[in-house]
Amino acid sequence: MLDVDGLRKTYSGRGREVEAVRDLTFRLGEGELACLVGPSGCGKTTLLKCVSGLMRPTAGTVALDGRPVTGPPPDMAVVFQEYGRSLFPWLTVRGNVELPLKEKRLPKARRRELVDGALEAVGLAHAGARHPWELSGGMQQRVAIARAIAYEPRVLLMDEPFAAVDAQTRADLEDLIRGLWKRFSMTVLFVTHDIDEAVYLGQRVIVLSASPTVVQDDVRVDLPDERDQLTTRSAPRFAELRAQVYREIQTAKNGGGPSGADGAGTGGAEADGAADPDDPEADKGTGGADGPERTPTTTGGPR
Amino acid sequence: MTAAPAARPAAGTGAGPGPAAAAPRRPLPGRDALLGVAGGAAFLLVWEAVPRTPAVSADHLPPASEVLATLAARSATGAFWSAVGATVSAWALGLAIAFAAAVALGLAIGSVPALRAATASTVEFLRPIPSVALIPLAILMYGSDLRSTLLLVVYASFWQIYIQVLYGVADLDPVAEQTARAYGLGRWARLRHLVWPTALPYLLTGVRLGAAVALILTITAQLTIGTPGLGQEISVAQSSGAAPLVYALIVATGLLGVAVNTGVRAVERRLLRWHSSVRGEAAV
Ligand SMILES: Nc1ncnc2c1ncn2[C@@H]1O[C@H](COP(=O)(O)OP(=O)(O)O)[C@@H](O)[C@H]1O
Ligand SMILES: [Mg+2]
Repeated sequence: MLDVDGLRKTYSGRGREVEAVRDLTFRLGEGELACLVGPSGCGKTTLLKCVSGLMRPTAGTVALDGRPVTGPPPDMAVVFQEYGRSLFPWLTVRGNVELPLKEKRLPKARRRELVDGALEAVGLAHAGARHPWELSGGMQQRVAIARAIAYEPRVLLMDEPFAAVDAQTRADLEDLIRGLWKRFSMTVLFVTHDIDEAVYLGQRVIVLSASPTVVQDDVRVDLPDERDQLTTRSAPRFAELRAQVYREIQTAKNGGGPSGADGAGTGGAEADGAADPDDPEADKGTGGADGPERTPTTTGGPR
Repeated sequence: MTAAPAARPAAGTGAGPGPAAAAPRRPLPGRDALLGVAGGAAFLLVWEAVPRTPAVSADHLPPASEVLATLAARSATGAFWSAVGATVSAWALGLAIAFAAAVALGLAIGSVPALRAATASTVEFLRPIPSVALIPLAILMYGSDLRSTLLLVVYASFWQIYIQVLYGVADLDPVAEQTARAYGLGRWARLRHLVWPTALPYLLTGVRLGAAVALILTITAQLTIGTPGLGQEISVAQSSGAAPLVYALIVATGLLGVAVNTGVRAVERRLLRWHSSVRGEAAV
C-alpha cells in the first residue's frame, strides 16, 4: 500500500550539496509493521519527511495506495523524535490530541470519543487536563502517540520515537506500540538506529546503509507474534536475526556500499544496538558532505 | 533566606491546575514588599526635607506633603479627571491602532522570509527616527487635533510591537511546524494555533514596551501641541507659575505609567500561564 520508489534527496543550500538519501526502494503491505534501521545521519529522518509529504524528494516517488504523495496525506500520522518540541505547550494534553481532529471538522461528540479512547490506550486517561511540560519524557511521547492514534491513521510513521527516553520506559513504549498496532490494525513504519529495537518490534527490518544511503537488506523477522521483553529477547532466533542485521550494517560500512562512503566513525554505537540513547544530532554533517555527486549507482538496494 | 527552599517542592509536584501562583516565584515576597515600602517612605522623607534646607528653593521643589496635598485637592475636581480621561483615551486609541497594524503586518511579513528581508532595511531606517521629530509634521498635517497626538503615539509604539512580532514569528519551531502540517493544519489553522501562540510572549513584551512609549508620546504631544489631557494641564500650570500643581500633575502621570505597566504585566501572566517565563517551576 505504501510504495517508495527510487527515492533520492539532495539538500542544497549555501552553495553546498548534501546527498542525504541516494536511492531507496521498498514497499509496505497493508497492516504491516516494518522497522527501518540505519546509522545516525544516514537519512532516516529525511526519508520519513519525504514519505509523509512534508518534503519533496529530489527524485523518485512515494505513493500511498497507488496515489502519489505530494503533501501530508489525511490518513497518515507522524510521531517525531523530538516529542518536547512536537507538542504544543500552550495546549493541555487533551487539547494537543484534539487539535488535529478539530481541523478534520469532526463533531464534538466524536472528538471526545476519539480523544478519550486514545488517551486510554496509552494509559494517560487521567492526565488529559495537564500540560505537556508537567509530564515526564516518556509520558510526553505517549501523548504524541495518543495524538497519532486519535487521528485514525491508516499509516503511522515513527521517527526514532524512543531514542531519548530511559531503557525501562523504552521497553514499555515498545510493547505499547505493538499493542496499538494490533488493536488499530495500522500500517506502521518505525524508524530506529537501534538494532535490538528493530528486531523486537518489526515483522520486517529494512536495513539502510551508511551514507550514501541505499537499502542494504530487507530481513523478515520470523519471531512469534506474541512478543515479550524477556523471552523474545533471549530467544536464540532473536540473537540470530540481530546478528544478521548487525552484519549487514557492518558490510555496508566496510566498503559494501558504493564508493565515496567516508566511513566517519559514527556507526559503532548504534550498530551495536545497545540501549544507550545517543544523540542523533551529534553525527549530523559527517555524511558525504562533498560526496561524489556524479557517481549515482542507479542499482537499487539488494531486495 | 532560610525559608526559601521550602517553596520549591510544592511547585515541583505540580498538582494544582494554577502553577502561576505568585508564592513560589520570589523567595520572600513579604520581605520585598516591606523593603519597597521602606524605600518609598525614605524617598518621600528626603523629598520632604530637602526643600526645607537652603540647598533647594521650595519654589523650585515644593515639599512632598504640599505636592501630594495639591494632587489630592486636584483629584477632587472634574477637570482633572477629564484630563486623565483624555490622556488615557488618546493613549489607548493610539496603542490599539499600533497594535492592530503591527500584528497584522508583523504576522504577514514575518511569515514570508523574502518579504521580511526586503523590508528589513526600510524598517531599520524608519524605526530609529524619534517620534518627537515628527511633531512639526503632525502639527502641519492635523494642527492641534487628536490626530496629531495619535500620529506620534502610533508611530512610536508601532515599531516596538512590530519588531517583537517579527521575533516571535521567527521563533517558530520547525518541528512544531512540521507536526502541524503532518496533522493536516492548513495555513490559516497554523497561523491561529501555532504562529500566534508562539509569537504571543514576544507580542506581549512588545505591548508592554509600546504601552510605556505610547504614554510618553501622549503626554509629549499634549505638552507641546496642546491637545487636551494631562500634558496640556501641566503646561497650563507651568505658565501660571503653580509649581506644586506642576509637580502634582507629574506625579499623576507617573502613577498612570505604573498602572499601565502593572496592567500589562497582569495580562501577560494570565495569557502566558503555559510559558516557561511564567509557569516558574523546574520542569524535568
Ligand atoms: N535541512 C538540511 N539541510 C542540509 N543537510 C541536511 C538537512 N537535514 C539533514 N541533512 C543531512 O542529511 C543527512 C541525513 O540526515 P537525517 O535524515 O537527519 O539522518 P538520520 O535521521 O538518519 O539521522 C545528514 O548528513 C544531515 O547532515
Ligand atoms: Mg533522524
